[in-house]
Amino acid sequence: MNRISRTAVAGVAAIGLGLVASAPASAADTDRGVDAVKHAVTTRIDKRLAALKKFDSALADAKQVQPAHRSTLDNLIDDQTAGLTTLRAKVQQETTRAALKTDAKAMVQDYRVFLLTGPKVRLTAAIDTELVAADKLKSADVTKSLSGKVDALLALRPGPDGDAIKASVQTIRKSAKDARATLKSLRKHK
Amino acid sequence: MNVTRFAARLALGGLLLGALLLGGCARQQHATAPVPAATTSADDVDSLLTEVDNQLNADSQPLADQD
Repeated sequence: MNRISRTAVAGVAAIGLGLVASAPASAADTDRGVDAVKHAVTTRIDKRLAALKKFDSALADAKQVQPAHRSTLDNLIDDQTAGLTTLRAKVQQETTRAALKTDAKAMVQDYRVFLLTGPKVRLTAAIDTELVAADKLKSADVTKSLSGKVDALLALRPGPDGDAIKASVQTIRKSAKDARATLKSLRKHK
Repeated sequence: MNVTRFAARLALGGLLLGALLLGGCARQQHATAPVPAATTSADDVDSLLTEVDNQLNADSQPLADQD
């Protein structure tokens, strides 16, 4: 009986010690988790800021972009750069994983830098250049096929439905590729 | 003597007037000379198509992040 009681007491003590010891360790784990998530989100924001810088430079180099399109894209790049810079600072102040998760979601869904902004810059440059080439080659068909495409592209907004954005961009991308094929064929026969 | 001097002055005046008229005409011709029309060379179209290629190739590169 004595032996049983002693074993029971020792067992309870061991469990108690375990709980006490585990409490601070668990808090440290949580802190480490927040820091790791913070670092990961910051890295992804930095990737987007670097991409926006590249888009800005690509846009400056694209000489055939129509002035109204250029202005829209310049404003978009500036706004997104400012927004993501603010979000980056906010991330540094977060103390919970839940808040960081919300920030990460905003980083993706409120901007769609890779899925939408990049294609906006590149496809606008491609289509506006194709329109100049179509004019030189006197191809009314190509001009007609590209009519309104850039406006439709620039009207697309970021949001939670990435697949829908991807599909909308893909339709315009296909028009740009088809126009390129037609223009190349026309050029060959001139 | 006076007649000779008058004739010489007349000739000189005529030469000056002629030179002025010629200069004016030349300037007028230069001002209204037609500006050569912008040529649509094959090179222009080729460089435009190369630019299109570059943009579309860049667009087909894998994204740095999937969203």
